[in-house]
Amino acid sequence: MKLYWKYYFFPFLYGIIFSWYASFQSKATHFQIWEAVALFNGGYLNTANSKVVCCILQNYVPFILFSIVFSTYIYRHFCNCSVYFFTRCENRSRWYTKEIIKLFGFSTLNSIFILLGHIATGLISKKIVFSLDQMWIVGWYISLYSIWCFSLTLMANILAILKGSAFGISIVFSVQAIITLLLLTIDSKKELSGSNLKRMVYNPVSYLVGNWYRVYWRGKKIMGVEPCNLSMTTGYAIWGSVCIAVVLFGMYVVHKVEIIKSNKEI
Amino acid sequence: MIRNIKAQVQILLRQKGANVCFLLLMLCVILNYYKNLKIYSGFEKICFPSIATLFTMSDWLDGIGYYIIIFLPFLIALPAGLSLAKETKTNVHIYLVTRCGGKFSYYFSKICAVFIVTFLVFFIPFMVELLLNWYTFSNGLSKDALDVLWSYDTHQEGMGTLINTMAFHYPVRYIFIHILYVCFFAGGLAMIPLACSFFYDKYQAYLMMPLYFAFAAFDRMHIKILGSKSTHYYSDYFVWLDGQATSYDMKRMAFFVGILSIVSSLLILICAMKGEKK
Repeated sequence: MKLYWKYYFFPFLYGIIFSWYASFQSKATHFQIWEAVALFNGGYLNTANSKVVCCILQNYVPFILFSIVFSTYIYRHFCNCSVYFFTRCENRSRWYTKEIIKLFGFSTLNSIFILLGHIATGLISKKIVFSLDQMWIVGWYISLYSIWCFSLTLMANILAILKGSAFGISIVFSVQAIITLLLLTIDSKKELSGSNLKRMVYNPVSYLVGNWYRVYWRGKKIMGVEPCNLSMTTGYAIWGSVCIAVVLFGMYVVHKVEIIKSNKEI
Repeated sequence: MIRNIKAQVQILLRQKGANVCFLLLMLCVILNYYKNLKIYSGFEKICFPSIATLFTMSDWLDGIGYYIIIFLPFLIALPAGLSLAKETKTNVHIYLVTRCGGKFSYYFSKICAVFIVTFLVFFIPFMVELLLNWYTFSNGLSKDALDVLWSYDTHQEGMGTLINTMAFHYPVRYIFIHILYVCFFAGGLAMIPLACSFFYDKYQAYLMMPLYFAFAAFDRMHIKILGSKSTHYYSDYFVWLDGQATSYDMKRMAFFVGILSIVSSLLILICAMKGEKK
């Protein structure tokens, strides 16, 4: 943990810089923490155009950095003296479960530190308001982003075990970027319905944009812009299933790969 | 010294980062040219807009220029800004210092080479676009006819801000100066990741972060820089036609970036001569 602690400075700084405008420059008298979270990932417009897609890609930066640092978290055991390590490891499944729980904890911390950056600027500018009854939206952000970031990092680790670290990280982020760019196929000039809406609903990246959800609280709509009405349950179901699939694939790979004989990192 | 710089430029131009960045910019430029061709395919020659409005970096609102502007910090750092960290990590710099004949000549040639390579990576694609646009969309009208055409141009509203007479009468010269400005900016700012690599070289992705955070912090910033207090958007300094920055702002910004790059270069040289690596 000590080794990785310093890398949480960047998500924290990222949170500070990206909430700076709302905290110090805008004329708003106050904002709630969940409002900052709802606007996270660039979803302030009701449809996907190049601006929103650019914002989504830009907001990947702290998560990409996290994945680069942690893309060797499980893979390193296969590189450094793997013979000694795995001859002493009685149950690989148990070891793998322990490691991925730790990795999930690290990815949750990453999301929390971005939020702490938002809170820090809000507290200094005295504009932030905490209301406990809507804090579950903050919980939504932390849980969904942790699942997403964890899935990507674990996938990068697994691909690194199979083909090398550069391959792992580049494939994971190329695929992620391509899926994000598929949002551009949504025609922003047409009405968001029919096949146009399906392109948004079936794209997993849409579920990372806070303001595209439909959220009601005590009969009042508190989050979401018409006509994007994504459901939170579907978001959890999609990213949860991706996460489970990656974990199971990882379990298979960890059992299958004995040790890495040749150096892939040349 | 010139031989050292030449050798460093050759090494850097062969590296993956410079090639990827060059190809990405070339792709953006060609896509923009193709988009323009598609829009104006059935038009009469007299109806062609001025080439000042067709340039990739002039197309801000819903064009390909938007992607370049958003990812500019990475595009600046990628071609050569990370080279020092790469060389230090693989210990190639020891060999290169002996080949160059001392620390000062190695680091000085490195600074020059990084500037030249970043400048070239941005300059060549944009110049290719300028030539293509000049050849395709040059309407060849007389000056009076151009004046009439420009009076109907929608971009005129934003034109009051910056070197307007030049964009109005000499669009090619205007675009050329715009390209030079962007390339000098890119070359100058590439010194920042280079200076940062003196203090950190483990994960190269982190070296892009100072530039990224500087750009992000400067966006929508309501601050006083050398005289006037206004809201600054960094895109304004790169997108001239659609931007809100005045030519006075531009000069101040160029001065600011110039100072920043000189300070970064001096920091590299001072750290190198002291031998205080990390």
